[in-house]
Amino acid sequence: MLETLTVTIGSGIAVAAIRVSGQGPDARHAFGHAKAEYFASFLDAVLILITMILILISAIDRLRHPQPLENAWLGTAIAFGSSLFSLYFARKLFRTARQERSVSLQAEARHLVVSAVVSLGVVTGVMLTLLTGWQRLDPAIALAAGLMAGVTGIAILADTLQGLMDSQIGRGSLAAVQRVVADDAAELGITVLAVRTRAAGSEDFVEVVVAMPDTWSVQQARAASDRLERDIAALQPGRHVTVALGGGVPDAAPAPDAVISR
Amino acid sequence: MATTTPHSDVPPNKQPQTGGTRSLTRFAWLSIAAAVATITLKTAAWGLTGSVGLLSDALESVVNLVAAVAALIALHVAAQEPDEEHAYGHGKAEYFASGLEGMLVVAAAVTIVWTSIPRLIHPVGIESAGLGIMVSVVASALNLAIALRLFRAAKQYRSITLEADGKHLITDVWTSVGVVVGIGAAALTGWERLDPLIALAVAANIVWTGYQLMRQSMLGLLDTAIPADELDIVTGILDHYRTAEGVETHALRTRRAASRRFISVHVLVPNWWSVEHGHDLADHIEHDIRTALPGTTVFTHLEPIDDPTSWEDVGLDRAGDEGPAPPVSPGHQQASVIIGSALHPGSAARARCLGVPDMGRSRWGILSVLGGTSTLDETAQPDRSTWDAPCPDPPLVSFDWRRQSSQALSASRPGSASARRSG
Repeated sequence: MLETLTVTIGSGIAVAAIRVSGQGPDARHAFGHAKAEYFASFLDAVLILITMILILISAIDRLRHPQPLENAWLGTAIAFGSSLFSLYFARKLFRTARQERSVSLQAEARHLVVSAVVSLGVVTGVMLTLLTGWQRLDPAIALAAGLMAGVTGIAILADTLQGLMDSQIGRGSLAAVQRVVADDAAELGITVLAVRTRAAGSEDFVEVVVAMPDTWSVQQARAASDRLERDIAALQPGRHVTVALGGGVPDAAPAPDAVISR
Repeated sequence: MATTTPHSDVPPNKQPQTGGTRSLTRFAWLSIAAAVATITLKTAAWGLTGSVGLLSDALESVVNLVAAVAALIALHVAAQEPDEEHAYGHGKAEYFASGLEGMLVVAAAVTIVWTSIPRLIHPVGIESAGLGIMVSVVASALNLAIALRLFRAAKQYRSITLEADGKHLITDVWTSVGVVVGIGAAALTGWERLDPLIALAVAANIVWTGYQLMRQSMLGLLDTAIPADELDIVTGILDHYRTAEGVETHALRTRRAASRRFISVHVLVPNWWSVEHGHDLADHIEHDIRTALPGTTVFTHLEPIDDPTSWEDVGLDRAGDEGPAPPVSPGHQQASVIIGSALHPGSAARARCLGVPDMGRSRWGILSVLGGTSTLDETAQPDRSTWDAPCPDPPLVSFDWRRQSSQALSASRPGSASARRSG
């Protein structure tokens, strides 16, 4: 019951965060609001950790003072049904989260899985207790479910803090960016000095610092950086690419066709 | 590009003002020491008197210890150099500690409200003052001294974590002041409800502090722009280059990671400038901004001023999202003569007056300037107020623009990259 309430709160916050993150840049937030989603996933983590603490407290209490189960079958049936529903819904959420690359939806889906696992733990605990008659089995399984919830909560928290820390984009995406940069640089005859990336929720930012031949005109340099920006941005929607000139290369070869014919 | 440019005089992470980030942990240690001292003091007083109030006071000081340890961790992380996983450094970690401080401060206010409301409804006689108050006053004085030191350091190093820790300590001071004033006022007037009322007022003040801290931390994490006064400094520098060098700038974007600022801007220069020259100018702009605002990473994107697409990419997504870019037609700018760039002081309108044909494909050289005018197809150009300014009269002189411009740059910034190069 409590767990469902926290899932509801989490979902509400996720909706609000997704709204904020979709607002786009404004005067005070020139890089957009995409990071707002992390606040929702942070709250999800906190809610899960609070749930964990409550579960652990009641489980330890019942471990020390075992109580006979009451009205167990109805409760078990309800919990079983709701956890199946949660798992089904979490699967859909995971898919949407992956498609939209939404941090808050992903956290919400993980929250739902936690909720389902806790319910299933309760069901298993009750059934085993009724079958074996050992009353400590129920709280012992609840304890395990609570610890599992804690692990998920901490994992979401870690992801959230990393996301807010201007972390690099995923290794796969980064490798793709680096490949494109290397290919383009070879073709355009420019030197790459640095590739910096940072993730911001469903969006990300790529900055490439390049050195171009000193003798190129700015127009030619622009053509080359445009090409690079387009190619990197094409890899993924929601990516913002900027190429900066980090230096000149003296006495370099004349501009290749790729630069001259825009 | 600032961190990689070979010309940058001082690497940003060695800047004097933020170079001390690593040593900022010493202030966190100071705060930890203060928390330990307060806890010891209150526990000792509890041991002497057996007063439960002092014990709960000591427990409240444990919160200060937790906050100070969080500040220590955050400052330690924030001081780490940029690495593979965090190309922009770790400065944002400071906001985690300041956000936590905000939450702890609000929690403290909630406990005050929690204990005050019952006493408001059912007034109780004031317990004997004396040692409890004394200890609390001494602890507050210690906290106040530490808080003032933290505020000074926070201002000097622009550390939001230290500022938050200082504010946290100040809320403790306010609480103690509230207790003393409340007890005194209740004793003087004989109205026992005055004590919880004052406590509630203190709590309201504390909630406000905590809310501000959480808000600031969230905004910082959300890549909010730098403060308006700092932004003014940046736009002032850019304006200087617009008038002095005849270039344009747009798409100025700023964000912060605690003490470090990140600034990104597009610089629009005449099409035929060489890469070398454009880069020199960008270096000067970056250098000026870094000098005015130490601890700033500047990122400049060079664009040709006469290319209409340069004007279409102000948005975060560049040309992509703003619809199809207008066709680049050399015909929309017709010059009666070929003219070059003369870097005599003028306005952004110089670009129009000077630069005209699409010279992207030509190898530039020494361009003779014969003077001239140009007509513009207004529909092809985005709105630019300076664009329509009249051209200088008499117009232009013959010159070697490359030498001219590097002289102009060196003259404006002695000791710069160009000066070194030409010398």
